[in-house]
Amino acid sequence: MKTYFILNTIILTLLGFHKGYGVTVTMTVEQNQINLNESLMLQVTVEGTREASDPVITHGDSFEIHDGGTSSQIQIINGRTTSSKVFQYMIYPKKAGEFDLGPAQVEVDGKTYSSNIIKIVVSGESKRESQKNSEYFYVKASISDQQPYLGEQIVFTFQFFRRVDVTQAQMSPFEFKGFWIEDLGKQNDYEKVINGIPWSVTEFKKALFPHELGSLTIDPLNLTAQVLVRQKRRGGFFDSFFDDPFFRGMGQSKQVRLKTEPIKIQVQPIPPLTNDFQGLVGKTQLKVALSKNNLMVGESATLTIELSGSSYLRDFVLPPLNWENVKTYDDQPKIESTISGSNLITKKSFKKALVPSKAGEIQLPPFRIDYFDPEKERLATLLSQPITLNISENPNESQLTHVVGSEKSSVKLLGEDIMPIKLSASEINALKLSPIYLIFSAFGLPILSLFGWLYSRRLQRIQSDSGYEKRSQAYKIFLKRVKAISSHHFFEEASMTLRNYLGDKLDFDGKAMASNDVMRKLETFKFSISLQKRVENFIKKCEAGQYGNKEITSSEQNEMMSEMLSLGKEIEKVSS
Amino acid sequence: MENLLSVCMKTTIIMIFWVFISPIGLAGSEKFDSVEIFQSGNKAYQSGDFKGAIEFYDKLLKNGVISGTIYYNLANSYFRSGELGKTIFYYRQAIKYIPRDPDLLFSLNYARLKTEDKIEPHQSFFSKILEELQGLSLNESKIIFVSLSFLFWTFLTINFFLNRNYLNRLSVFFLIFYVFSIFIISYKSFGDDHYGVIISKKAKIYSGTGKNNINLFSLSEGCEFKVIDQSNGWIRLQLADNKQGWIESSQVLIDSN
Repeated sequence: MKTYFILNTIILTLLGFHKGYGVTVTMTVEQNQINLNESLMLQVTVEGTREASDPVITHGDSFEIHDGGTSSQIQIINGRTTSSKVFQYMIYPKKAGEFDLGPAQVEVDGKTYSSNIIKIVVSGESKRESQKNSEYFYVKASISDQQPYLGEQIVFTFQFFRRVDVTQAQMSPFEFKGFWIEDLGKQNDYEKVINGIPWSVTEFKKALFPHELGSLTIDPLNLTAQVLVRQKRRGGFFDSFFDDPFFRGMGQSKQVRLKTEPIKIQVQPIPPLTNDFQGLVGKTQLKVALSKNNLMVGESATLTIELSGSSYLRDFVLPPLNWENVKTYDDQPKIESTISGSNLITKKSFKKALVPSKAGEIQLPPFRIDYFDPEKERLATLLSQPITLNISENPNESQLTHVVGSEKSSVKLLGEDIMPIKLSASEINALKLSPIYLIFSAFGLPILSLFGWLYSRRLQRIQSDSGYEKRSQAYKIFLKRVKAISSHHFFEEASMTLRNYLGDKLDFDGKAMASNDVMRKLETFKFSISLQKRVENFIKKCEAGQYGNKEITSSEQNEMMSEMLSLGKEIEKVSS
Repeated sequence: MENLLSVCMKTTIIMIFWVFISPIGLAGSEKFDSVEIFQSGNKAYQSGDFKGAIEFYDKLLKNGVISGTIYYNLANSYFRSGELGKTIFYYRQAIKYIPRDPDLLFSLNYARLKTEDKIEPHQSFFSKILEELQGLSLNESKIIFVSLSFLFWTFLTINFFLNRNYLNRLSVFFLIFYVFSIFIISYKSFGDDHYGVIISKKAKIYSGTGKNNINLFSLSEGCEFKVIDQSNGWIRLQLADNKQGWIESSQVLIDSN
């Protein structure tokens, strides 16, 4: 029965997974009446499959639709399996009125399925509501100059004012058509008091340089955020604030969408200027420096030309320099940006290596850069000081001719390419160190070294203490001798074995001593009285047997052997 | 003490056997038709079939035959196929194994010249020192570590028995380099930048994970970056000039170390 149930479930589940099996598409919204500044959560549920394409929702440009994620489900209810895929979207109305949303169309296995259509009524934000909202949060966009000249720097400022808690604030993508954009510092958060009310403000700025003439528009910037509303409290200091009608009927949080006003900008043309004008608009400075004025033929000096100012320098290129008897080699220009006041100051440095090819005094003409000053509404000219190069003969000039000489010319590169592939197969199996060596080096060698240290300590001890080796081996030899005792001369050999062991262990000649002498020695080594007595009894028993020519029975022998082993063990324990 | 010393002796013998005998066995089992596939890749490249060459070199890498030469040839094949991003990525992989190969360095520089984005790097003193270490491959760093480890522990152990001043000094001398080699190998194995390269022609960089975030800037194919974070098919990158943002992972190749 149980097996049947499991099989049934598996078959039904597989049926449920079958593509396109009873596919239905349903579109649902949480409410179909919203305000212009509100958003709506839309769900498109595709039942009967989990492999549907992303829905295409018809909305007639009345809404902005943002992706809100996807989820899949499989349900088994009473043995019936259903699978579904849910697509979530955030819907932002673009204008007030009554609009159709949908149908949503999905494709499953090449077949298109359509959903229902939903009517959405978008009411325009009432003046009162709009005013109420702006009492708590609003966004503002401003521009430093609405009638700039072509290429002149203007500063765009976006500000988000709020005096309620806000989370998940997110800007929609934006672009400034007709402008070059440069960052103007990082986002700035600060507090501002307006008419006695403190506001939290988040602000960012961009430096814009118009590159198109005529009327340009900065489109509205959108910001979505969750406005957090606290629960109504009684008797608190802020009661009057939270009892405001704005918060009535709201839950914990509310998603709002804020929009800046579009900004119209009229870009003015620059009056006709000289041929040298290269499009720099805004105050600009010029610095020219040479690393050294005195050099030899073939030697190089670095010429640095630095332009800085509020003009757009990123695409600015220096006119080509054609100087007689001096060759120039360009380096990559460097750009740095800093903020001065509320303007972006860009610094572009051009470095050139100058290599003279003839001795004598060479006058380099001054640099001339023209720019348009929008404040004074006229052309300004920057002129550097002329540079004099004192070139002396180079004693190694003959070696340099292949580079800078006039008779021979340097090899001209006609093209460049990557290097050829490597053909040798031996290189693909290059020597690789086995990880075993690494593990051995990291752990094995230190362990071996530790063993070495232990062994060296033992050797040192043997050298410094002559009896150490004898003492440490005594018990081992004792056990060997005990095993070798014959029953024929048992008493003699047993006595000798025990005395030898005591002698080795306590560093005296046990073999040559009588039982009394042995006992005196044991006293000096502070053995317990009972142990001394046991040793004495054992030796005396052996002496009596040895000198009285007594025959020993096997049970007596076993008893004495076990006593001897027990004594050895105890002495070993006490002496170590 | 006796027992301990006997254990020490046995352990030493086992260790020596394990270190010097086992690698030979392992090396013998690592035979794959790598030479034939490598030569087929080379033939395909030379006959102008760069896609075919890529398949052969890829097959070698997928089968664990990894070397700087294969990465270099693979990068060349991608270059000829017009895929600049992958070219730079595989040249950088090759650098890990053959960091001083002049052909590789020239080709990588040449490929970098072909990229559109010019990024001025912000370099600290410390990062310059670390850059110098790029001249050593991981395998070379391991060999240096093993050699210094052997020298240090050998001199230290001999000194336990002979107790000579010069051995003491030699031990300290090798200890300094041994510690430095541990630093190098750790940096090479774990500290090296987790890098990536843009492989699509143009890629938008966003302020967060999702296309509804602000488009911060765009990058062109071949632009290299440091991987800071990864989340749900998005990668947080940092450029050499410290600009940061998120990019879809399908538009990049990243070094998985």
